[in-house]
Amino acid sequence: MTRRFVFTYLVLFAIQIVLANYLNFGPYFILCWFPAMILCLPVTFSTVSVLLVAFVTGFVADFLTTGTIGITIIPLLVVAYSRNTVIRMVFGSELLSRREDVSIHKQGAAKVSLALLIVSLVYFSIYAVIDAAGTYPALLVLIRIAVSTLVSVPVSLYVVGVLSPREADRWR
Amino acid sequence: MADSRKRKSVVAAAAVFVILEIAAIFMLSGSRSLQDIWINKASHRTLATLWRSGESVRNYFSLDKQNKSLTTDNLILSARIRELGAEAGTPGKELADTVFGHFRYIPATIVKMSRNTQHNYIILDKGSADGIRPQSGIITSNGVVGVVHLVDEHYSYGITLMNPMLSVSARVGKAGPVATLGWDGHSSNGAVLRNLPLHHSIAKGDTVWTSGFSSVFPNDIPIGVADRVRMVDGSLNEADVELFQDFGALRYVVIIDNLDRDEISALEKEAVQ
Repeated sequence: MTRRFVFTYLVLFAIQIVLANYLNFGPYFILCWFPAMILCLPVTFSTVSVLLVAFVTGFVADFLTTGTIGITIIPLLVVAYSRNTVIRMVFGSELLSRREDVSIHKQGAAKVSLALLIVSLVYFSIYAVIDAAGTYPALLVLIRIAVSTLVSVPVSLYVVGVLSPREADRWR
Repeated sequence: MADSRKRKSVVAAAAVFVILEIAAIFMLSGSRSLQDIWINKASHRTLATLWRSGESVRNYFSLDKQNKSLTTDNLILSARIRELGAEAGTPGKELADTVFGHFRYIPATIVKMSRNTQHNYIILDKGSADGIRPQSGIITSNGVVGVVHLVDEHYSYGITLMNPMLSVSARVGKAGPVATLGWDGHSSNGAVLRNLPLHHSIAKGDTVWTSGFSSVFPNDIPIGVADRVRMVDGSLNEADVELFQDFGALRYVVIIDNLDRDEISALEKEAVQ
């Protein structure tokens, strides 16, 4: 993990916090790229390390945005725990064996988009259900999950591009 | 050997996942625990400081709009004071005090307010140092905003009407039925009046007021107007209410403290015993 990756991760995190605090998208949609950031963590990281990073990311995010500690941590931990399974399912076990990081340049935009779609869907499904806490009609929760996923995946794709070290090398 | 190590790491990951998830769920669900209140207070204190800086910049750029609104409010209040002064036969100045009857009115500025979640809240720049107590009402000239829930020294945290946990006792018209008013769950200026008796007819456009049947809000604060009325479960009516206060355009509020609340609570406790 390079110093550039840590810096980019922190900047993307800060942008997400500012966005969550200052931009109001209404009750139908949430814009969040935390799942993409978790997906982009180096493959050399063990699942335990990824879980700890997800926990800290979610905790600080909850602390600085909604104040409801746990609402981001819970879905983000599920994303972190299922990360290796998603990588194996979409990119094959070779990526894990070769210890390569997720990159649009190497794996292609289509495969990365599919992985992002899965992790975003997992994240928003859990987040929307917890946030609604039984007070929203099921249809509205489903609309929220669908719209949030569809809007967040293209943005997350850009986030993967920014976080991916290969992408940076390519344009240097 | 490698298999055993792999199995161990899988078990460790699963254990860490379960422990962290349980911790997160506890954090989320323990809304009544002292730790949660402490975390919430610390979080809101940090947010309040951050947002105060951000809000002061935003306030600066919307001063013109605010001035217009304040001027209008001032005109309405002056007219009301003159009206009350004429009725009571006392000079208007005495009525312009912050204490009216059993309630004390404390103006406050919104430091932060959430509008896009299911459990929306508000942070105000007045706290226990200014005499704010939990369970005080939050209003504007356009109606009810919420109720103070937690109080810090310089800030207070309240839940707004855009939160399913808050319901307000409301009356349709000046002498109509009393019912419970709660958020409709999606819009920033919509509410639902529930448990209305069937034998009372409610017309579209009827004004909804606070009933005063609680120690939080005084009576006759206008809240909104009745819209569509529908029957629920064949035994009760439910009416949509268009709120006068649009939560998307709030900046200043007034906190109402019932001076007799302790006395009322003591009496209620005594009656229960």
